[in-house]
Amino acid sequence: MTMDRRRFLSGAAALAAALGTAGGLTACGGGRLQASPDRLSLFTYLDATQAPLLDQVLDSFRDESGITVRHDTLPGSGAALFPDKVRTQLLGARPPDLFMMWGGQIAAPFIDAGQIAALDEVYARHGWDELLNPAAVRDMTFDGHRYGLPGVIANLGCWYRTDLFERAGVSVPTSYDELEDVCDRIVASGVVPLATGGVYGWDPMRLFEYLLEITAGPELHDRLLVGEASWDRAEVRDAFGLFRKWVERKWVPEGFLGITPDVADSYLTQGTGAFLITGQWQEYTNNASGLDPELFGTFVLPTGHDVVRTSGWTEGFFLSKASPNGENAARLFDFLLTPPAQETFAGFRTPLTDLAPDPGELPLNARWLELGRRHPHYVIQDQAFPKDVSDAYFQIQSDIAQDNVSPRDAAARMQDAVTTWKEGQVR
Amino acid sequence: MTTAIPAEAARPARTPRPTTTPPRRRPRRHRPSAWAYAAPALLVYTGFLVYPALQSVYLSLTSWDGITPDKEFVGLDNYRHLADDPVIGTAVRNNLLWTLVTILLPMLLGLALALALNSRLVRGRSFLRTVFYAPAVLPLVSVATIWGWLYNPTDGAINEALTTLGLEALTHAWLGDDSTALWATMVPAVWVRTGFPLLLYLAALQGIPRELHESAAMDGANAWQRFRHVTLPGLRPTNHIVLALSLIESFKVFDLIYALTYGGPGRSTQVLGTWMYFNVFQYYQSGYGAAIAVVITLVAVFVGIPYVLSQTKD
Repeated sequence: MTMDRRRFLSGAAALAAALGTAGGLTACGGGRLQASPDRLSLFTYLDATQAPLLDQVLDSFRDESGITVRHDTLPGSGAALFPDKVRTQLLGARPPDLFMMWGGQIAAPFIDAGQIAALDEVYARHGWDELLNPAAVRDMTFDGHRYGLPGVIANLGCWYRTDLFERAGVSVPTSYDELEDVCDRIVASGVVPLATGGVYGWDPMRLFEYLLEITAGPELHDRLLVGEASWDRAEVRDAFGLFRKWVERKWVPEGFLGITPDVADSYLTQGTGAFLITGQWQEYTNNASGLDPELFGTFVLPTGHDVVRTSGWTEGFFLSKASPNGENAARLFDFLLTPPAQETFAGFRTPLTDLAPDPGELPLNARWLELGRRHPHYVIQDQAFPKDVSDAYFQIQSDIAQDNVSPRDAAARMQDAVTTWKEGQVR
Repeated sequence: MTTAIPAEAARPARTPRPTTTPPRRRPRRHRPSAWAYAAPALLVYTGFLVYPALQSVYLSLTSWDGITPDKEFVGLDNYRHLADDPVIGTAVRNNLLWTLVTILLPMLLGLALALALNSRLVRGRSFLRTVFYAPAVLPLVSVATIWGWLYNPTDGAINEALTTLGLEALTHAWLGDDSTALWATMVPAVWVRTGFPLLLYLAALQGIPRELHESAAMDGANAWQRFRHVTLPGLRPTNHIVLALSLIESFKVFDLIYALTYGGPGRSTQVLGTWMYFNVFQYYQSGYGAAIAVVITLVAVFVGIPYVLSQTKD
C-alpha cells in the first residue's frame, strides 16, 4: 500500500489529535480514587539491602490477610529528595495509599497541607502507645495527634577505630574534657579525629548539636529546637565557640566544608579518620569493608548531664489522607508491629520496647538497641527545623568554620532565622 | 537650436520583461496542509513547553507551597520579594561571574585548540580532537564527582600535586572556602565546555578557502595579519552561534554547582538555578521559586533572541 503526502499528513494530524484527546481524558479521569478490598500501594526510599526485608514482611502479610501491597521504592533519594517525590505523587492522579517519611519538620509540611491522615483512633484501638518507644511516638506526633507509625529509630553516636585509638594511646572518653584530650592525642598520632564532610551541612551539624546539648543541657536544648527559647544567649555562643575550637585544633579535616559526607565516611575504613558521628547503618559499612570487625567500636558521646541523650530521629509509615483504603492500611500497620515482622524489617532499629533480636553479625547494632532505650534522643536539628531554617543554620555553621563570624554574631543570626520561621516569613 | 529628444529615447533601456508567465499562487484551499505539517510539533510544543511555561508564570503570582491544593493569588509579591532576598544578590553576582568566565575561556581555548588542530604541523589530529572533545560527553554529575575527588583537601590529586612540586603553600580547601569555591566550580565547567566551540571552530576553519590565505601571503601578509584579516572574519558566524548558545547554557547553570558544592559553603555558590530549585523543591515555596524561574527564562529568552534572529536571517 502506498501513502501519498496528503494521506500521511491527515494521518499525522489525526494521530496527534487522538493523543492530545487521550492525554486530556487521562488527566481528567484521574481525580477519583476507588477503594480496593485487596490492594495497597506503598512508596518508600529503602535501598537494596532494606527493601527486600520489607518485601518479605509484605509477602507474609499477603499470605495472612489476602491483601497485596505494591511496594515502589526510590533508593538513594534521601531526606533531601524523597519528600519532593512524595509531593509529586500526592498531587498526581494515583497517590500511594502509604509512604515512608522522616518525622519532625520533614513530615510536617505534608500534615500542614492536610495530606496525611491522623492515626489517633488506630493507635488507641491497638494500644500502640504501650508497645512503642516513647521517643518514636513523639517523633510521629504533631499538634497532639499521632500521624505516623514508627518504622525504624536512628540514634547517632560515636563510631570509632579501635586500632587508631590504641595507636594514639587513648580510650573511650567518659566526659567532654576527656574527648577533647582524645582528639588532641589523635591529631598528634597523625590522624584526623572526627571525619566529617561539610557539603550539604548536615554532617558537621551533628557535631554542633552535640556541643549544644553539652552547653545548653536537655531542657533548654529542646526549647531552642522548637523556638521557645532565644538562640541569642550564652549557651549557644559557647556551643559555636566550641565548634570553632574543633576547626582550629584540626579535630575535623582541614577544608571539611568542601568534602561530601560519603567521602568523609570513607576516612574511617581507610584509617585516615578516627571516628564518625553516625548511626547504626555504619556497622553494615564496616562489615562490607572486609576489615576485622574488632577494629570498630562505638559509644555514646558524653555530655556531662544526668540524662545523657543522643541525637536521633524516627522514620515512619504515613497514610495518605486521600487513600480510600484506611482499614487495610491499619491492618498492615498492626502486622508491621508483630515481633516477626519487626525482627525481619526493623531489626535493631525497632521502635518496639521489648524486642531483642539475635546479635548475629551485628553486635554493635545490638549494643545500640540497648543504648537507644537507655538514652533518650533529642530531635536531630535538621528535622527539628524546616529546611530553610536548617539551611540558614548551615550558612552560619559555614561562617563559623571559616571564622567569618564571631560566636556572638552567629547566635544572633540564628535567632533571626528562628524568629522569621516562627513568624512564618522565612523564605 | 536644440533637438528635441523623444522622451522614450531619453529613458534608460528597461530590462526586458521575462516572457515566461510567473508561477501562479497556490489556491487558498491548499494552505491548511502547512498547518497539518506543523500540527504534531505544535501540539507537542504547546503541551510540553507553552502550557507549563504559562503555568509557571501563573504559579509565580501565587503563594503556593507545592503541596496544598489551594493556590492563593498574591500578585507581584514574589517578584517584589526578589529585591529583599539577600541570596538573590549572591546568586545574580555568581551567575554573571560564571557566565563571563565559562563563555570566554572555553571560546578562547576552543579557538586556540582548533587553530592548532587545523594546522598541518600537528600530528594525530583525529586522536587529539577526540581527546579534547571527550569531557563534553561526560554526564555532569560524573564530572562533579571526578572533580570533587581531585579537589579533596586532604588527599585530592590537586593538593597532592602541589605538594609534590614543592608548592605546599598553595594547597587549599578549594571547595571549602567561600573565596575560592565558585572559581573552583568553574574549572570543570571550562574543562567540559571547551570541546563544543573547538568542534565548531574547527569546522569553520576548514570552510575558509585556502586560496584566501595563499593570496594574502603572496600580498605580503604575515601570519598575524592573515589570522586577523582572513581567519577571524571567516569565523564571525561561528562566533555568533557559540556565543549565543554558551550564554544561554551558562545562565542556566545548575548541575555542576548542585553536585559539587550544593550551593555552599553556606550559600556562597548559589546561582539562580539552584536557588530556584531550593525554593521550589526544598523550602515548599513553589510560588517564589517559580518567580525566580520566570526571571531566568526571561533573561535566557532575551539573550537568545539575537541567536534566533541570526538563524532566521541565514
